[in-house]
Amino acid sequence: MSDLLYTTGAVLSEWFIRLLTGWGVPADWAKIIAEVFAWGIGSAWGLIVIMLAALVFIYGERKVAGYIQSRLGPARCGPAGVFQSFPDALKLLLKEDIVPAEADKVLHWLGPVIFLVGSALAFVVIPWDRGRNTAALMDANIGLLYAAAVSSLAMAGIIVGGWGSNNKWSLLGAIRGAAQMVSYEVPLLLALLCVVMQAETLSLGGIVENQHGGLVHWNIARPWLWLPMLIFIICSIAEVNRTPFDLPEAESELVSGYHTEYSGMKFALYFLGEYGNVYLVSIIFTVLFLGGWQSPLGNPDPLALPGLLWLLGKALVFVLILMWVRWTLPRLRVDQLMAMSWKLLIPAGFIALAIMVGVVLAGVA
Amino acid sequence: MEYRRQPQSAWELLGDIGYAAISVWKGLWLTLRVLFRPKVTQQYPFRHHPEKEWRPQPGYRGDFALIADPERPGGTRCIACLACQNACPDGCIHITAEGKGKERHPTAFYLDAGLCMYCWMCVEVCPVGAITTTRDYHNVTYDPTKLIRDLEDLKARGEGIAEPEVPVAPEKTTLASGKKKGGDDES
Repeated sequence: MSDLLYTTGAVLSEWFIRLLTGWGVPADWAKIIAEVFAWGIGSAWGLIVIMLAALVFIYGERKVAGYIQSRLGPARCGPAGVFQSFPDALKLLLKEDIVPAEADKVLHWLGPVIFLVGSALAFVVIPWDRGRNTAALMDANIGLLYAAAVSSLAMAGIIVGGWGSNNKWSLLGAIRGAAQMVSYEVPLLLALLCVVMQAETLSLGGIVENQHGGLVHWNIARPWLWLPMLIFIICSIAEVNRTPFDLPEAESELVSGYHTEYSGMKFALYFLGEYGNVYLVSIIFTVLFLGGWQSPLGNPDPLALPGLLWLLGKALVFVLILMWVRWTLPRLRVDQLMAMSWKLLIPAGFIALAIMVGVVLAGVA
Repeated sequence: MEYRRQPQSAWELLGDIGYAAISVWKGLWLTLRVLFRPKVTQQYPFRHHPEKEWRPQPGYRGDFALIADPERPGGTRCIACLACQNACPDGCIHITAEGKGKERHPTAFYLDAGLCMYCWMCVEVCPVGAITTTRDYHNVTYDPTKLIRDLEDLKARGEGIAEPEVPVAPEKTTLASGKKKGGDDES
């Protein structure tokens, strides 16, 4: 399957380059254009994953929230409410799209688009399965850097939307989001750096290959990576703006934060992007620490399950942990949020990095 | 709320981190246990669990019944004096009667439970204690006409009931000053 995708991609790409050169475009330019188109098509696959994931997660989120509060959650639409997401999505599609009179029309439109595109683009470099080129749609040799950079685009979406709404609550939410993003990107990258030093590559496919051979070879089984793992988990919750770090949309303080002025389809785009980011950090966590698409029983997989299933399943477990945390912990204050990042996580990140350097120098890794 | 001062040394900082980690874990452990515990929600009336059913206290004003009279086989205690019909503020009781003196009994007894506001005036006014509310609350329906009780229906609901549901005076829990009577006097 993955080989087929890759071959089809290569054939299409070659055809496209020949078409362009036939029109008189220089060969170098044609290659670049074809590459850009290929990334676009790759992120379309990301969009599909986001939409399917959002359908499942909206239901899962409400069900987990209900169960944690000793309720049943959605229970009326289909058996145990499993079809609840479809009327939800339909409602969002049919709702009126209101643009405030004083809003910046262009930025108001651009906000949710940037937000969703940011999370869709990052799905391009995820290695989904074993096989040629480790079956990422584009296995870039700077995959991890690319994913971290592109997923930061989400914050641009929040700022643009919050500014374009021309609403003080939106703007406050956006500013808080920007501050949070700047603060938590640093320890997150420090944690990523430790994993990169372990694998000696920035390619996500390479990092998965580095954890070859069952549970005991995964990064989660390497004690010197436990501190980076903890930092990554905390920072990833902050990056996707979920409780206890949901200050950009703090309902009890800022109405609804940066998406106060959004309704209908644009709100749905923000919503999709949020769940897309949740799944993205879960998948990246799986790739970095849980062996990506590999089976915990060793390679080759004794159960012969597709690697895609392993990857999505492990990511789903991480999503459930995120939901569990969300419905347990209360929201932090702004100063606590900042103090946690700058006074705690960043020093911890440097300590983790120092330990990692020691491990590399000692030749254990 | 206790104000926690800033940590003064590295050891205090480590202690705070440990304290925070334990607190977070306590919360997570609690929600995890609740997650797998049976839920308190009952999907009444869609899923009916008779064993988990809520049992009303004495004096609960549920659906209506007419109490049977052993001396009048097949009949009820009702002497069709129309006191309840006249007392009802909502006018939800309609009785037609026949017979004279001790033979007098209702031939039709309509009670619209959808109109009723459960003020209990009919129960209080009845000279023979014939009409009563029961503790049956399973009268949910989509069709309001199904809430109109006729004579047969009321008789059937009255089977096995010996005496009217006695109005229970609410306990005198508060004094004029608003303080609780008895119990924790010191507070």
